[in-house]
Amino acid sequence: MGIANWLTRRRCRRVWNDPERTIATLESYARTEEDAGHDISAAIDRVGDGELIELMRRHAADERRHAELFRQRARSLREKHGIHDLGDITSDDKLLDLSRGRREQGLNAHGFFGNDQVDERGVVAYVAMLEHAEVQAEQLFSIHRELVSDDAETLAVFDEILRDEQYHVSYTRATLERWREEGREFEVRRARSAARSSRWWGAWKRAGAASASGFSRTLLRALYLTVLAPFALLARRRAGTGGWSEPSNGDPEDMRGQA
Amino acid sequence: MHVLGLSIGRDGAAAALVREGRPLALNMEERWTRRRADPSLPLRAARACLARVGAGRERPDYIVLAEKPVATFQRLLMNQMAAFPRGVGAFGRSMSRWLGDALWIKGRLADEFDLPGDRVLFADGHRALAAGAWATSPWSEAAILVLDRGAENDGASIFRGRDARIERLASLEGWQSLPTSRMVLADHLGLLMEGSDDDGRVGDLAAYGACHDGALDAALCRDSADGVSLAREAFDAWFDPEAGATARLQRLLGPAPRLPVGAVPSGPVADGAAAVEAFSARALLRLAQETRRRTECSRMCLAGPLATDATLLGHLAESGLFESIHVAPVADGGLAALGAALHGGQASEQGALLPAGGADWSVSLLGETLRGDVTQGPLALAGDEAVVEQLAARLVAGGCMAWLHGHAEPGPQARGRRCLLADPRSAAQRDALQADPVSFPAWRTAPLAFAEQAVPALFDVPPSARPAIANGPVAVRARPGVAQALGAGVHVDGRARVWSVGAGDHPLLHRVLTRVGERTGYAAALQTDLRRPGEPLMASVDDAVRLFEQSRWDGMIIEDRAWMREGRPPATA
Repeated sequence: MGIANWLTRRRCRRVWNDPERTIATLESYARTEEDAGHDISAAIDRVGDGELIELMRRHAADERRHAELFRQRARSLREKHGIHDLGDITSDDKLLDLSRGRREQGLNAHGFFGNDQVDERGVVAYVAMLEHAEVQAEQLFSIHRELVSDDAETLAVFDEILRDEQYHVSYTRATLERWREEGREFEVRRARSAARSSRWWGAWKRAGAASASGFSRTLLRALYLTVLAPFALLARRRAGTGGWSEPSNGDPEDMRGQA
Repeated sequence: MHVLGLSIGRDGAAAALVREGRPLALNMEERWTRRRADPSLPLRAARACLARVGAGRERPDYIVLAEKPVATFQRLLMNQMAAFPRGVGAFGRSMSRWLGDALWIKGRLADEFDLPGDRVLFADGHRALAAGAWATSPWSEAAILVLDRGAENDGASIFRGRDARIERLASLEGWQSLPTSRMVLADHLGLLMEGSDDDGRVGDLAAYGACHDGALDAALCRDSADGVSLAREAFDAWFDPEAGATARLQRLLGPAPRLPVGAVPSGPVADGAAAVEAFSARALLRLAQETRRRTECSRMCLAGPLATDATLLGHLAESGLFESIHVAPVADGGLAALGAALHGGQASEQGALLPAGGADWSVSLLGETLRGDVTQGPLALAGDEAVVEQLAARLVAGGCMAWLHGHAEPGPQARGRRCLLADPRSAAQRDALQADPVSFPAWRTAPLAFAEQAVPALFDVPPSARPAIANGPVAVRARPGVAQALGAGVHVDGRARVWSVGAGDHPLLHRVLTRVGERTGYAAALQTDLRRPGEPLMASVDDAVRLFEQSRWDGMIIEDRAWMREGRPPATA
């Protein structure tokens, strides 16, 4: 944990030393918070507990407000530094983009399972996931807060967001405790454990998928340059020269075929 | 028999549910994932469609995908082989995805919906678009021209629709796809919309530039015996997505220019846009000529991404090649899903035929309602008439009003139900409309929504454009004096993107515009989509209220509840 924390701090420090990275990171946080607001709103439809619905509504609204805070700060920094184009984001910088999992693996904004699986896993698992995600977010934003102590405006953004994150941790924890006291201890314990392992398991699967994808691409490229090379000439010959073509045997419709 | 049509990619994945040739539901995936033009398998949208049918129905009788995956795979393979050795990067990426996932979609769909494999069908993408366009048209015989970016290996297809059948007459290969070449050119000029393939900025920007010598057109588009031929060597991007604009294009358009932020553009970007527009218009006219020649029909349905390009539609209508042009009120993704479902119903064993032309249904009523509770809004308006009065009075007073009413439009663009409205007489109102959080460049002109009865007197609408203009904006010339009166809605070239709002299709908006007309003489409003840049249309009450809080708009009406900016009380009629 100590090493992970040190690595995160090191990465975060780089963010605040480079205006382009700062803007990219703030905008990625805005996207993540915005998505989280949508995710929570969508999950509310599947929750039957009236008290929890109200808490989640506030949570969703907070996430959207955070998105706006991050977005406004990024906008004012863009104006201040005259930056309109962030250029290419390096793979190293992609690590700072919390929204990457959502785009690439179809995960929800918190980096866990997709929203449509809330039905399968249940509300307890969802709240346990929220609790775990909020604890992680609080830790990450606390590190950022320490590193921006000389920038009053960004500091104020993190202060406001951290206050909310503490509230989110507090209500999700209280809800889980309430369910535990109502005799659902086993369910709550299992959900918390699943939330913790889901995060690590997700990271492990992402790493596995990335390395497998890299390996398969390398293999495919080698195949292309060796085995398939002779077919390139044929493909070039076969490539049409333009002009209209008419269906050969009438207008066939085989809808069971994929070709 | 329920048939679920699915469309992947295009301008957003979509699902449509059809029963015995009648559409029941149409949903875009982006509305659920909140990712603009989300191209992924539309499972959420499909479930939303099934949910609309009623409790207990979790699976359709058939699923029809608007693509032939193996044909697409073959095309990719051949293209990348033809681009040897430059295609190595694209080959590694695309084959990894296809071999790992996309080729096995039949099994995945069967598993997801618990259906036997033989209930998953595949419709050719162009045929699905043609079926959708044909089914939404009011005719019993017409030509259908499909111009698509082409998943399978077709760039353009000509069909003839007659009663309940469509028949393909001819196709162009995929690399000759006009929408693809236009997109590559727009990308080179930096004019693609953020997060989408939408090249709609080209038409707006072209008016600020000049197409000097037709060099681009001459280089890319050649006359041939059968109408059109695009120069293959200029379209390497089709074979290798990494190639972008080729050296030849770079010579013609110059090195990729940068679009100045905020300023009215001029110079290389605007001239480049004018050249691309001239090329696109000429190529489109040649394709339309060929369609006319092959089908011998005087009416045409147009489908594909260019069908929603107001400027190109304007050129096509002015050409007089066809008596009437129909454009479906549903954009590509939804249209392909709808067409696939209709076509699948036709082909399956109990087959329903395609709805014959003139069928009495409107897909514009199939989108989903807003999520969330609107009963808590601060000001209740007593019935539709109060909503109409409130909106009309506010607009005439120079207000900029957001409006969310009824079911959403089944497509990425608002047609009067998730929109922001403003008075077209004032440049200040146009600026308010274009400001944050909706924001789009000042040099773009928002479409004008006009009550249908007011259009002919103010704009020179070619007769062929009348069906199309009722379903979405078409660029038409303003009559003398109109540009001065409606300065905020008429572009620098004297054209406006006019949408004729019918009393039958959009009764409430039509009444609002008519009331505005009674007060100002112009039954019109500037209209733009209610969304943030890069996001889908508003889908929930919470989002809409939050967007309003971040804006400077005068007010917002959600169904029969009004939110007014502090210090700006509700207008009285």
